[in-house]
Amino acid sequence: MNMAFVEIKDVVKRYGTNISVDHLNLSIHEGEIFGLLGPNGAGKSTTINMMSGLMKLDHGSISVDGISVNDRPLEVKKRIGLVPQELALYETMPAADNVTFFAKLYGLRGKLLKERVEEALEFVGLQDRAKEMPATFSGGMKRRLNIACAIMHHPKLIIMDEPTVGIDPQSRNHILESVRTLNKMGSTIIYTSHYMEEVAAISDRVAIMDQGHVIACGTQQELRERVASTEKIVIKATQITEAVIDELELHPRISRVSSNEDVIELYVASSQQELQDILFICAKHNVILQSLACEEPDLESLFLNLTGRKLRD
Amino acid sequence: MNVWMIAWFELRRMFRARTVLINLFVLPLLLIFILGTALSTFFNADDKIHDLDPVKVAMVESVGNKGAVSSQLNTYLQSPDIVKMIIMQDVPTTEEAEKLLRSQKVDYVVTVPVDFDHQVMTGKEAKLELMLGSNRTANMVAGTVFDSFLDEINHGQSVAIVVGSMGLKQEVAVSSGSPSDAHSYVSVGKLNDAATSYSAAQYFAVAMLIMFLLYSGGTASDSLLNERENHTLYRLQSMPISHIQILVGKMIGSSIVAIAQTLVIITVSYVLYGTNWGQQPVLLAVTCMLLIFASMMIAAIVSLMSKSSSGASNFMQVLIVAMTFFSGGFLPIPVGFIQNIGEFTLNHWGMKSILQIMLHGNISEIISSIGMLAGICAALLAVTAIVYRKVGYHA
Repeated sequence: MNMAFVEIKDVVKRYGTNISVDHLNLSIHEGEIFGLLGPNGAGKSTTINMMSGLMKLDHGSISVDGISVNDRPLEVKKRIGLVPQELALYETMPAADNVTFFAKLYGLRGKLLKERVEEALEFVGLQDRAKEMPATFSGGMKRRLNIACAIMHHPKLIIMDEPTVGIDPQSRNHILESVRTLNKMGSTIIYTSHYMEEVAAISDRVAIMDQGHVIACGTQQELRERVASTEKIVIKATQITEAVIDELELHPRISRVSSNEDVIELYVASSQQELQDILFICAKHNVILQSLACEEPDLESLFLNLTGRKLRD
Repeated sequence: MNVWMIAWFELRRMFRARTVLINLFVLPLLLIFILGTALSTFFNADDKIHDLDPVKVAMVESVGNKGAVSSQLNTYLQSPDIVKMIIMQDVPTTEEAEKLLRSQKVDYVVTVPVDFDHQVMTGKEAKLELMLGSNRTANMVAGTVFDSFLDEINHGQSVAIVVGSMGLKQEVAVSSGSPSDAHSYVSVGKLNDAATSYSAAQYFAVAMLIMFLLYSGGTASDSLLNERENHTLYRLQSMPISHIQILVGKMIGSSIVAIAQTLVIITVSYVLYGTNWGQQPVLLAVTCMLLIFASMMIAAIVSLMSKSSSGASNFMQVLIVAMTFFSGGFLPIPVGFIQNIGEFTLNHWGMKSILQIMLHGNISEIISSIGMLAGICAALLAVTAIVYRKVGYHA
């Protein structure tokens, strides 16, 4: 669990004058589920592409299982199963044929090939639909087939790039459960998402990326401790005006304020001490309170605390 | 090994698509039938040439022009081959000949100018005054007969200019001897030893075969770009296989489909329409393979440089239709500059090679056409290599 399976050292990737990944350093341990969290454009997909040998590095080095991606990309690719963000399927070929084709490219043949294809389809719950075309599948089923096409060769490292985009909650739960099972079967998992809840639900360790940098990395407990001195107060109310928000922002012991139509979120050192002031300001501006809750800080709080922005801004 | 895996999968995918099968295998055979039937009148098949009626020509020979060249013209017009095609009628004046032409009693009028012999003997260009009638075919036949004579006379003049007037006198002296010794200015013969000239069905079988072989490049280009647009290229490139293997594998798959297409078109057109594809299967195969290779290279260049499959598809269609048009693939076009443009197309050299094979033509001419195709393929390969190095085949 402590050996670095993926080592990213001082990696830089530029697109013209824009830096997508800026002197990135990360160590991912063998056998862990590693969550890579960040808003769109944070550099997560670029990092994954470089890790998978799909994109050249401008600077630095990446090794997977002790093998340099720069020097021996094909060897690294044999050890990786990549689940792309976009569906990458041949829609007019049966589901089993899709998995079989990709399995053959990983060198599987004969009886083993047949077994692994059946196993992968069973794993994602599509064994009964093996002969059907993906064109006839629902979004969730296509997502699951997308996963099956990346795991049938039992890769040591499975990289999942936003695998739950645009699917129903039931399929999402199925996928998250699959990730845990794959991890128990021995694969190291890198899971990227901009859904904080998903990453929090399955990851052993999390790195939060923003603008090409890792701004925080550690176990969920370690990350929460960084914002442990902060509490989050969530107020649901009506008649929220700019004036009330302005006054709350001017309060010296309220570190951050964010709001939308009927919710105000406030970050304070101690909710007990500040609650009276907050309620007084709200009453002064005729805000009608509906509910008020004090929450534990989460990864979203940490991101907000570190960048001043929300993950999905 | 992975290359063949990709090629095999590509084949299976293509054979599953009904529209592809119809476009590649049924459409060319249908077009060969339609064009071959509808445009058969543009081709003088062997058995039709003797059905032409002889052309009635009124000849006005000016008084005082009875020299060696005029007598040579008379000898030429009395030769057996020409007599089959031309019925001569001497008329004293141009006005009278014109009246006969207007009343359609003759089809064509030829006036020999007063100074015809003098012009020729002094090394100037030989010219006859011609008056065309209303019948296009008759005009074409008479025009060919008299143009052939004038060409020969002008050839003699060229000799005279090079070797001196004695040369011309010797030429004339030899040819104005007995009629049996006369030069044969026109040789009515066959285009090949087997005594068959190509039919409309043969011509369009070749033209459509080549056009659809080029279309197989369009199919390959679509497939390459769809792989990118459907994100399957991204997945393929995350696997332990090089980018060039993916490209080559897909090209091989499309090429195998094109080979199957060639065999189907040749076999079915032979069985259904009796199209004779000649006695040189190896040269025919080499020509087809070069055309397939060239179309794949064009597909690769277009795919690597295009951003969308619709743009690439439109470009390929315009290119293939234009090349087929300029090479006379839809209809032989007797317009000089179009034929000149046609020489820059793959279709031209492919058609030239296969038609020569069909007509049992000279091997060296067939090989020369194949050589041109091979040269074009080499150039396209070089361009493909440069484009691949510059832009690559990426997701």
